[in-house]
Amino acid sequence: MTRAIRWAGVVACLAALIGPASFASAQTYPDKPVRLVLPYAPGGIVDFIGRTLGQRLSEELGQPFVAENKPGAGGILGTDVVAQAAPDGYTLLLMDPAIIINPTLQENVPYDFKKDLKVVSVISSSPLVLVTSPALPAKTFAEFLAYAKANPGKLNYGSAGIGTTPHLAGELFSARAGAKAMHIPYRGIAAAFPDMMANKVQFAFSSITGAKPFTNDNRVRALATTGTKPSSAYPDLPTVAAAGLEGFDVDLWLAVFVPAATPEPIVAKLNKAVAAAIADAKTVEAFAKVGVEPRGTTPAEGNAIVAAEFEKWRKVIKDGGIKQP
Amino acid sequence: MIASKDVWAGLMFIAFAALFAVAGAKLRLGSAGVMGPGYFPMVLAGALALLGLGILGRAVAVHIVAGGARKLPLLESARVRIDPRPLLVLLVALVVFALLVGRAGLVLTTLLVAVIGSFAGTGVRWPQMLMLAAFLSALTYVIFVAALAMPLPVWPRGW
Amino acid sequence: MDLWSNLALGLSVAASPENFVFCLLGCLLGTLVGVLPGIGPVTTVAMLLPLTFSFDPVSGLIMLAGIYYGAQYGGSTTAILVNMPGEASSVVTAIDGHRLAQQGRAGAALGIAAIGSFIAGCVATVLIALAAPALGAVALQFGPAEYFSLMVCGLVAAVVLAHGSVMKALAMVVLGLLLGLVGTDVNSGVRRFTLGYPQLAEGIDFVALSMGIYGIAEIARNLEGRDETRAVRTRIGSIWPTRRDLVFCLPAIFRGTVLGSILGVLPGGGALLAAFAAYTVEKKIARPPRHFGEGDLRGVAAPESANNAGAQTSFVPMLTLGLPSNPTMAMMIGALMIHGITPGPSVIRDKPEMFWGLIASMWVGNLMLVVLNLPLVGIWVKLLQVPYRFLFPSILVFCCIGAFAVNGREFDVYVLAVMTVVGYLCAKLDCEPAPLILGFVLSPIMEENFRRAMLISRGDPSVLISEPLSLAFLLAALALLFVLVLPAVRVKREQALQE
Repeated sequence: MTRAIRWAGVVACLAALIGPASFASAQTYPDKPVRLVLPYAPGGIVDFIGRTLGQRLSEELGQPFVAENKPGAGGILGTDVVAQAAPDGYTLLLMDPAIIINPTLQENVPYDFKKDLKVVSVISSSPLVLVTSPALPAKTFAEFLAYAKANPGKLNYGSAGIGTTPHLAGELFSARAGAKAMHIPYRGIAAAFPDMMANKVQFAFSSITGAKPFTNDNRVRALATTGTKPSSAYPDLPTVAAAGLEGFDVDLWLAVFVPAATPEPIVAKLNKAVAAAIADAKTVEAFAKVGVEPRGTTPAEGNAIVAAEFEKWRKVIKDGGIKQP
Repeated sequence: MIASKDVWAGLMFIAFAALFAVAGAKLRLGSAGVMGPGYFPMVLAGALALLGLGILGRAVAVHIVAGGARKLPLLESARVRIDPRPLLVLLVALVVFALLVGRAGLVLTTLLVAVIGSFAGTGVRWPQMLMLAAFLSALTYVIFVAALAMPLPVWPRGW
Repeated sequence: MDLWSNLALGLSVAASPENFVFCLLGCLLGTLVGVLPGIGPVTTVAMLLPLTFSFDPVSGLIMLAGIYYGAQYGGSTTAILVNMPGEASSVVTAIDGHRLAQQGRAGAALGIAAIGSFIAGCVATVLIALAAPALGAVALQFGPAEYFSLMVCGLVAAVVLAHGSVMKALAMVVLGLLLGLVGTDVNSGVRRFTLGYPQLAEGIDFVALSMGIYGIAEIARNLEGRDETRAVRTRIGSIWPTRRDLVFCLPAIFRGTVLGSILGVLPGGGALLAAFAAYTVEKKIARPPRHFGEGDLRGVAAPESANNAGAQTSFVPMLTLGLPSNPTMAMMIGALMIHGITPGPSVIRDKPEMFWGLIASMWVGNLMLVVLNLPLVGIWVKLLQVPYRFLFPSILVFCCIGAFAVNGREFDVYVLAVMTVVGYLCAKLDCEPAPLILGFVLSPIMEENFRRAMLISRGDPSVLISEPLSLAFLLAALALLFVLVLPAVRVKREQALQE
């Protein structure tokens, strides 16, 4: 009798522990609206891609996927919301490389992306584009590389802020080329362009959407893109890797994350739905408008990619002495 | 009267300057050429302290010139009349709003905050006040939820 | 002439029934969110942006633009009626506007604000049509050194806003500068003065700051014991501004419009600086000057005109250069890109119907707004007859929601509470808040650009005076400081001796 009660207690405790997860059955999932947390303010790429994806997922799975902006602290606040959410598949996160850069760069990042989150799929890739001041004599990437090597310590490069992908790409370039270029951070990459036109800043790695208005009429010069293959937004430009800096690969990827304890069947179901959503012709077209190409990976591949990116950028941040007291 | 207000104002600015200086003490200063994150705040905190001292000093000087042998203006602080009740009630209302809005939703929280806030005034008339609170609650629903469709918590969680 | 055919093309686009409705919708929404404390155009445009993805790009842009300048109209309403500026630029309007309301001239103030905005809107529209590329070029003249010097100039001018002691006003500016530095330092990525709260990483929220310092601190003061006179406003004068008022204000409106049109194209705080600058200029050159700060209609007319003209010209660098001058414009660039339109010099050539359609819609929108706002004045003035015991709980509730809704987080309501205490203390000690607000908004721009200039010059401060434009601003600041301090010293000495 007492034993039975004790066992009942143990079972109850176990049920309570695994409760939230066990109730979320993969067969019935999703049976209520799903939150898709976007850790940035409306109007940016993550916001647009998130909304497009949310709409497609709603069509795939028959429940509304509601995009919700949770901006703040460079994406840390929104990411933490999902890291702490119930692992039932009803809270998703769409995030860019800042999710793995912030833990190295910032103090007191509340989440541990390896322990608290896991990848559903890396949904897209988007290279940066190297733009230079039109006043520079260099007209091609090879010439620019030679110019940067010949003028150590003299060049300035703009970025969208400390620890952003444009900053780290610039740092990586500067180190690989031995250019010792000075980093000039701006609040968002757009603000750097007037100074680049005036040759106060000589180059920058810009997002494609940021650069397009200025490269269309050659007010700044676009020289190369940073992916492993040429970008559809700049089909005529070579990649940095092909044009002289082997292995140079900077990707502004986006990935869908869920809390780490989310049951595998739900992750698998989501992964399938995401794959279908980004394969859709309308999605491809919408992504292309902001210079983003659909990618799509399995959860395992996605986790491996994100872990590798973490190591890569951690090394750049450490070697470049970017983290300041 | 003006003198004693200036004395307090000077002290307030000095206190703010000290606050920022202490909070920013750990920030790297750098040099004027290559500034660290602490340089600009320190310069400003210094400037604020100087201005505070200036305000304080002038207040005391004016007082001595004008008031002769009267006591130091610090003691006349009563002339800055402060009735803390309305301020405190309003602060309570704000904290209640912050604590409740996520859990109880906009409609109930507004109702409660309007009721609490009303006590900041004098001579509360219950029927009128309750009607006003209900009206405000309904109005916020119409404006923020129905018209603007803002993504805010409307009803208590779990309903 | 080209201008007329261009404007005719624009009008044909803007006056199509569909676009007309979108424009009206935008203006209505803009007025609504402008009047509501907290919810400004940035939040509204952000909310509606996804909706416009499915519209025709011109219609979407026309509506978003309507929200933006409609909010500038609406923003002055609460500033004048209850001394609660919802936007940084209406902080200036509140100074004289609210005094006028207390004197029973709220109708005149609101009317002049609407008429001034309308005139400014019309002039700015023509100016954009005539000289968009030239206006755009102004933005490109500004490098880091020029921005820094302009900010210095603006801050010195801020002291003119206060009508009390110069030292106190300067101290408030510096306090505002310090508060503005809270958050992540752009140059080093270090968080400053955030006390460990990640919510402060992007700085103190402007809405929470101004709602606290103006909105709630003001209630606390009004409700204090014997100070009944401030709260009860019985005398309601003539509802409309008279012809004499209008003639009296016309020069101020035009000066404000010119200043606003030029400063509006500058990224970061351009429109705000315009309102402050216009007020400062009027206070210094208008005759007779003695009423400023105590309810002078020109103190409403000038900043409101500047504000609206600036709001309109801020579209120019966005459209013709792809350069956003404020967060709303950045979102509009996003919207255009999503529609496959790349803003830049080629927009006027490749998308004339969009460019000129938008310009013309601004004029149409301004007409709608003045038609919409003038009758509203009567209603607003009636609102002042509502007993204060009903009014203040309403303000309280709206401030709470305003602060909360901007980012949807409770933290900002606590910030609101702290700022209420700060505002209350300052008010009690006769320290006026307007200079603090200006310092708060401008300090990140000022520090960032100074450090950027130093980075680019490798630590050589002479760039600040070797760039002619930068030198000019610094000299202007120096001259202004001189003009300010001199009479103040003389007056104070006389006062001291008389006592």
